[in-house]
Amino acid sequence: MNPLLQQIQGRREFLRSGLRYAILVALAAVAGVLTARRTATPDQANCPKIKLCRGCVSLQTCVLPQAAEVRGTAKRS
Amino acid sequence: MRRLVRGCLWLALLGLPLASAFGVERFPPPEFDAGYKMPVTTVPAARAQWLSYLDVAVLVAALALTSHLVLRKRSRDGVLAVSVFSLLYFGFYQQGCVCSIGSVQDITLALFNSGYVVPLTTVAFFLLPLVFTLFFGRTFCAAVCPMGAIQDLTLLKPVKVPAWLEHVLGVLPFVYLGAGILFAATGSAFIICEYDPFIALYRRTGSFGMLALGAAFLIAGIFIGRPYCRFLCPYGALLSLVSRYSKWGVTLSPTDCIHCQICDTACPYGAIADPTLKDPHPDPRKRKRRLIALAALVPLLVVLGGWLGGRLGVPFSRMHATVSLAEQVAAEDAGKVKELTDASKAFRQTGQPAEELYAEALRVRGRFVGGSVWFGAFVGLVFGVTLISVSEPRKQDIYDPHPGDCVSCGRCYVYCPKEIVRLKRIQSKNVIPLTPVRGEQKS
Repeated sequence: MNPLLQQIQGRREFLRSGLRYAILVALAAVAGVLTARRTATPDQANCPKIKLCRGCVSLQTCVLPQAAEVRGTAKRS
Repeated sequence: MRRLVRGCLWLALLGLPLASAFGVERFPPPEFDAGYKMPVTTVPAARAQWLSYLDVAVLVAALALTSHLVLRKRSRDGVLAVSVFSLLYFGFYQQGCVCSIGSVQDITLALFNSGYVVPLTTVAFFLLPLVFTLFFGRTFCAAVCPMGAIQDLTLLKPVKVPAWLEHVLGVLPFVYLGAGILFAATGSAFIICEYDPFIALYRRTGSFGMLALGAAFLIAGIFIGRPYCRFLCPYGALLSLVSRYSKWGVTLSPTDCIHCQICDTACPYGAIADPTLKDPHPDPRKRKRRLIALAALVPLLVVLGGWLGGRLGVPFSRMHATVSLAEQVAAEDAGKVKELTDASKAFRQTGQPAEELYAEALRVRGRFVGGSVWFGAFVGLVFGVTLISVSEPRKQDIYDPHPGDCVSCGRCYVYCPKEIVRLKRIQSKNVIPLTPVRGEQKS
């Protein structure tokens, strides 16, 4: 292969892998932020979704008192 | 034989909505004498914690297996088998929730609202396919996504979509992604989940409109390959961006392409990019002028989009419950409407002053206007970048799948004559094939 072309392709591959790892770092940062926010206390938390607790995917991990009540009821029944 | 199996599967899928007619409610609600009507839940009941972790484990296993089948084994039949499994597990058993497509909204809401605690399983469903795509291409779309699987299995008579239409419709997933993020960030609605065309089919229940939409997508999908994935899926838009930088991906015969065009004809998703043998820009000065004009147009489109988006902020904000309630209460107080709604009756019974409601609605509306400006600017940017990419196609001298458009279904493996010979040669030697993959081919 032409050495100049090889050099250009090498540079492109370097940029591509640089961007790849930048995206990976960004995704890791998102995961980190979301995990850190899981420590929210009941007074900090709220529920913006207007739907029933029973059908909510966050029910098992929700820190709101209403969710704790629903979980308790579910265990008893 | 394969067509017969597909035909049977297709008939079974069409018959599934009928099954809901024979459904029996598992937990009959108690009878109330007060005339209270039980509200219809739109989402399935929460799964046990260990089942959620099992879902994540199955997702990882399915992603790893599909990546292996696509890149290492180069097996279309294997991909097809995983598609059927994903359709049954993530679609009909898990009832399409949690799914990676909808998780975009959960992640957005969690990032914009610190009080919303997103489950770890939802974070995993959002991140894992992106990480796999970063290394192996869109193997999630190939066989793991139940939405993709159902459309892939029902594609019977593929018709080519003209390239210009493909480019135009290709902008829609980004617009939908932007709208989904806007409505989720403002806590108004999860529109991607609300208008998911296949969810009613997976849950075997839903409104007539959503069932009809799902059926329309499936019928269109008989002729147009994966219409939802290609022209609407917001998560597909993200994966398409990420897969451009993937370490490995689907390639055909990188060293000995004979330009037979069979793969191009066989690909139902228009993902095989034609080689640019001749210089597509014979006049470099003309090309330079056009590029400068387009580059100047992009900021203009961004500004114009932002301005238009800002004007849409007020109508968009009516999707928020607080804003619509405030407008209803204001209209009732002004005597413009005579009939009270349930929401306004409930609000009046709380005794809360209307001024507080108006102030809250104004705050929400302000957030919407700001968000809509960003949304419009984003749409303008997408249009601008699309124009440049159409004007400056990627240079290549062989038929090869475009990393952004290729959903790694593996159909082209079955059709490429060189690949067939290569696989036969390997089978006769009875050794594990060393797959030529993108990145390696260049060295």
